Amino acid sequence: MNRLQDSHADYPPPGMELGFIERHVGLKGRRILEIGCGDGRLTRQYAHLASSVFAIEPDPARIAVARRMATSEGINNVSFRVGTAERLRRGGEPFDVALFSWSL
Amino acid sequence: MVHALERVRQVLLPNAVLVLVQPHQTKRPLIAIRSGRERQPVARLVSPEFQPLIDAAMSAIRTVTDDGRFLRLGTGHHQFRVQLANPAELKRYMHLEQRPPRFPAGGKKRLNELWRSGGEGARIEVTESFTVIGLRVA
Repeated sequence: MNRLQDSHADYPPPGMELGFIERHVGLKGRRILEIGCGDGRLTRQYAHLASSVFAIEPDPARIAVARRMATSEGINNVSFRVGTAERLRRGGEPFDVALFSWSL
Repeated sequence: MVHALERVRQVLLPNAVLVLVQPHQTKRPLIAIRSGRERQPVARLVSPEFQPLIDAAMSAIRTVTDDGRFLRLGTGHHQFRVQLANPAELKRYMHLEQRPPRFPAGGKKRLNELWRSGGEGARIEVTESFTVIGLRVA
């Protein structure tokens, strides 16, 4: 369900989704898994709250953009990887929270 | 999609929370002409190619809650509005989707008629509806 260009205006305005997500779970200090992060549009909104973020996206070009934009904003607690939910592997430290943003 | 949810469950802590932001299952984008304080609805777009994917996603969520893998914390339906300068902008906006929605029969004609009568300062308004679902690992 990802858009071709994640940064365009066909997503809710910044902060809106985050407010609704936090009605279900607080993100502060949490270890977060984000599925289908696209260009990191949402990731950059909450990364400062999280202890760490593992964000995956099947499109390598979008991951490259996500990494570049996160770096330019000084975000250093996010690991952006090319991947899908179906290929997640068990074995690492489990997550407190998982987010699917327009991506199931 | 059930498989994706199951794989995510396997890497979550017990009692961890999964939040899904989804397009609303039935409310596709609603187009209107905004002129000053007046708002004239044009049409709700249709997405024949996209709809089966939304339905499948919602079905997968129902499956993993019905079979007890996740507990449903809550579901909220929300909207946001985007204002566009003209029909060309609307066309560009609609094609941001990999499977662009389209107007129902007669919708584009109504858009053009209302747009022409909208006067200076008129805008095209798109109302997007989405759903936020919270689940907890059971």
